Amino acid sequence: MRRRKISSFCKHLLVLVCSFLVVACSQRVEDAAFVDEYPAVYPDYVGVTVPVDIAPLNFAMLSDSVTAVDVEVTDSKGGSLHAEGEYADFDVDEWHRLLAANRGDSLTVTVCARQGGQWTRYRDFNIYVSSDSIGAWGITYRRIAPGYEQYGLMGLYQRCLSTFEESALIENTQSPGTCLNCHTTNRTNPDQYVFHARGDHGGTAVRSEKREVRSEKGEDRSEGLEMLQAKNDSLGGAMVYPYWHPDGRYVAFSTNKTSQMFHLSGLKRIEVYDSSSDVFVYDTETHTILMDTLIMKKYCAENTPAFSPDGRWLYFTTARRQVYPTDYDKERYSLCRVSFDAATGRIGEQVDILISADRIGKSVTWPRPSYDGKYIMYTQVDYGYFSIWHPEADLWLLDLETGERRSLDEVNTSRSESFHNWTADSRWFLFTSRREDGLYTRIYFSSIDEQGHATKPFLLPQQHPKHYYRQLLHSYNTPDFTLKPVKTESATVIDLLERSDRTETYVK
Amino acid sequence: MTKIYILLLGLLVISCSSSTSRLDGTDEEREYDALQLKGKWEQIVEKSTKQPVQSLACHKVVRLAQYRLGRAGQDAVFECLADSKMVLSSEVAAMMMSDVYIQLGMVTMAQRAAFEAMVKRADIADCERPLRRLTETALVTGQYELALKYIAIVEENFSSSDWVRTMKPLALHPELIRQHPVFNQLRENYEKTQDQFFL
Repeated sequence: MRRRKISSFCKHLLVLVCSFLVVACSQRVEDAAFVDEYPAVYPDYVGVTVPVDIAPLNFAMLSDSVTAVDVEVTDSKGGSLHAEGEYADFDVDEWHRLLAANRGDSLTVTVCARQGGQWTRYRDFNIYVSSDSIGAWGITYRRIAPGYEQYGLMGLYQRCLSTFEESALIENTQSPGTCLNCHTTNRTNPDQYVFHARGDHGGTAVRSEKREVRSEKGEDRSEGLEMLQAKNDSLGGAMVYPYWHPDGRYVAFSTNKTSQMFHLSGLKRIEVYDSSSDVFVYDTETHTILMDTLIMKKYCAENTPAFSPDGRWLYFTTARRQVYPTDYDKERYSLCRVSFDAATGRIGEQVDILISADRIGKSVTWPRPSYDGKYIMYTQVDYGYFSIWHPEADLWLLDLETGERRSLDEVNTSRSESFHNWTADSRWFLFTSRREDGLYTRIYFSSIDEQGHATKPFLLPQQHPKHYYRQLLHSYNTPDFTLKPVKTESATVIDLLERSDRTETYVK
Repeated sequence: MTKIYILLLGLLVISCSSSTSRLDGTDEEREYDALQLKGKWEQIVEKSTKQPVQSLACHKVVRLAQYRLGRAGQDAVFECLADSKMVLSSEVAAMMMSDVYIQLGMVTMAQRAAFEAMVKRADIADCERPLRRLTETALVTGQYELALKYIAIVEENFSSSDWVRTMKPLALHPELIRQHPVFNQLRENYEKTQDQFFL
C-alpha cells in the first residue's frame, strides 16, 4: 500500500515536472512588437519561386542574437504549417502536402523572432509555388575546397531535391592523390556520363549504355563503363571539359594546358588560364578522336564546347592566345558555332561568330544551350574563362531566335555567378554563386518563364542551412541536374582507375 | 612590394597561440615553428649554425631571423618570396611560412599558405591556427563576411573566446580596423601593393 502511494506520488511529480518543462521550453510568442519590414532570414527565401517538389525551405534569422523563431506558413485554403525553435525546421511530409495543395499558388510566411527576451513580428512574405515540378530527381556536384594547389578531401555527390538526402558517388579518399573533375551526364540522364580523374592513376571514365564493352581478355566491363587513357600523345593533353551529343554516341571535349597564378593584391585571388587549348569530338563507339583545324587553330584557344539540343551545331568559345602573365587580361573569348553531322561524324566548314569578344569587349565562357533550343545561357567575364575567380562574372542569356542577349539581372550579384545548367524541360536552371562571402560557392535555383524572365533564385535547401553552410569549408562545383539517382559504382571506377590498362583512343 | 614591413609580433601572438601539434610536419619544422612564434631569433640562428637546416621553410625562417638581428639585408629576405609552392611542404611548414609572409606584410601570400595548410586537413578540429590566420587576412583584404564565417567556425569548434572577442568587432565594424595598430599597418601595406602575380 505504501509502495503504491509512493508510486502514485512519483507519477504526479513526473507529470508536474514535465508540465513545467513544456511551459518553460516552449517559445510562446508573447506581446510581439510588429515591425513593418521583411525578416532578415537565412537563406533569403523572401519572395522566391520554388518547384512543387522541393525539399523544405528551412531557415533561421540572419542575426545570431535571435534565440528563437516562431514561423507559420499558411495558404489561402486554410492549410498551414508551423515551426518553432532555434530555426524553422519543417516536417518534410507536411511541407510536401502543403506545397502540393498550392501548386501554381503562393504561401504566406509569418515570422516572429525573439531577441533579448522580446518578440518581434515581421511583415509577412510569400513563397510562390510553381506549377512546374523541378523535372529532375536531384542534382550532382563536386565539392572541393576553393583552394590554390592543394585540394584535400573532394568528391562527387548526388543530392535528392525533395529531401535532404545526399550520397557520395566517389570521393578521392577512395583513390588517394586523385583529383576528380566534373561529372557530366547526357542531358541530365545519368545512364551516360563522363568524368576525368587527374593524378598518378588518372583517366577519363566514360559510361555509355549503347554497347557491351569487352576487354582484350574478353571480360565484360561493367555495362559500358570504360576508362580511357588520361592523355593522348597526338592530342597533346587530357580530355577536360566535356559535353554529350544528344544521340549519345559523341562527346565534345576541350583539351587544355591549364595553369594558375595568384594575385598579390586586389579583389581577385587566382587567375586560371590555359597556355593552349583546343576542341575536338570523341566517338565513343570507335574510340576515335575527331580533330578538325577549324576548332584547333594554332594561334587560338578553343574551349568549353557544347552541342545544340538537336545535335546539328557544336558551340564553343575561342580567343586569340595571349602572352602570360603580361597580357593575362587581354584574352577574351568569343562564342562561335560550327555545324556537326552525327551521321558521318564530320564537322562543318564554316565557323559562325555568335558573340564577338572584340565587339563587346568582354569574354564569353561556359555556353549552355537550353534543351528546348530557345537560349544559350553563358557566363560573361571581363577576360579569361575561369569565371569562379572573377567577381564580375555574371550569367547572360542569348535568345537564339532573336539574337538578342541580356544580363540575367534577376539572378546576378556583384560576386561570381557561374557553372549553370538546365533541367531537361528547360524550365529551371541552377548555377553557382559566391554571393554569400565572396569565396565559397553555393548552388542556387531559378525558373524561367515563356518570356525569358527568371525568378528570384533560392539557395539549395538544407536541414539546418545556417549551421550547415556556415561550417562548410568546401565549394559546390560544376552542378547539374540528374533525372534519376546515379547508379553508384565507385568501387568499379576505382578498380578501373587503379588498373594499368586503359582503353586506347585513336586520332582521326 | 617595394618595401619590407616587419610588423610587430602582436598579430602572431594573437593568431598563433593555438596549438600546432595536430598539424603534420617534421620535428625540425615544429622546433623552428615554436622558436619563431616566440620571436627567439638568436636561438633560431644559433640552432641553424649547429645543425644544417633541412626544411626549406626552416631555411626561410632562419633568413628572417638573420634579418631581424641585422645580419642579413633586404635582398636576402626577398629570397623568401621565391619557391612559394615548394616551401609549403607540410602543414607546419605552410603555417610557418604564413607567419613569415604576414610579418613581411605579404597578406595574400600569408593567406595562400594558411589556406594550403587548412585544406590538407580533413578534420576541422585540427585547423584552428589556419582558420585564425585566414580570418586575419580576410579582415585585411576587406572580406568581412568571410572573416565572420571563419570566426563563427572558430567560436563553435574551439575555446578561443579572447580571440573571438578581439576579431568579431573588427569584422562587424570594419572601421575599427583603422584603429588597430597591426591590422591598420597591414591594410595600408595591402592597399599600396601593386597587383602582381606569384606562383
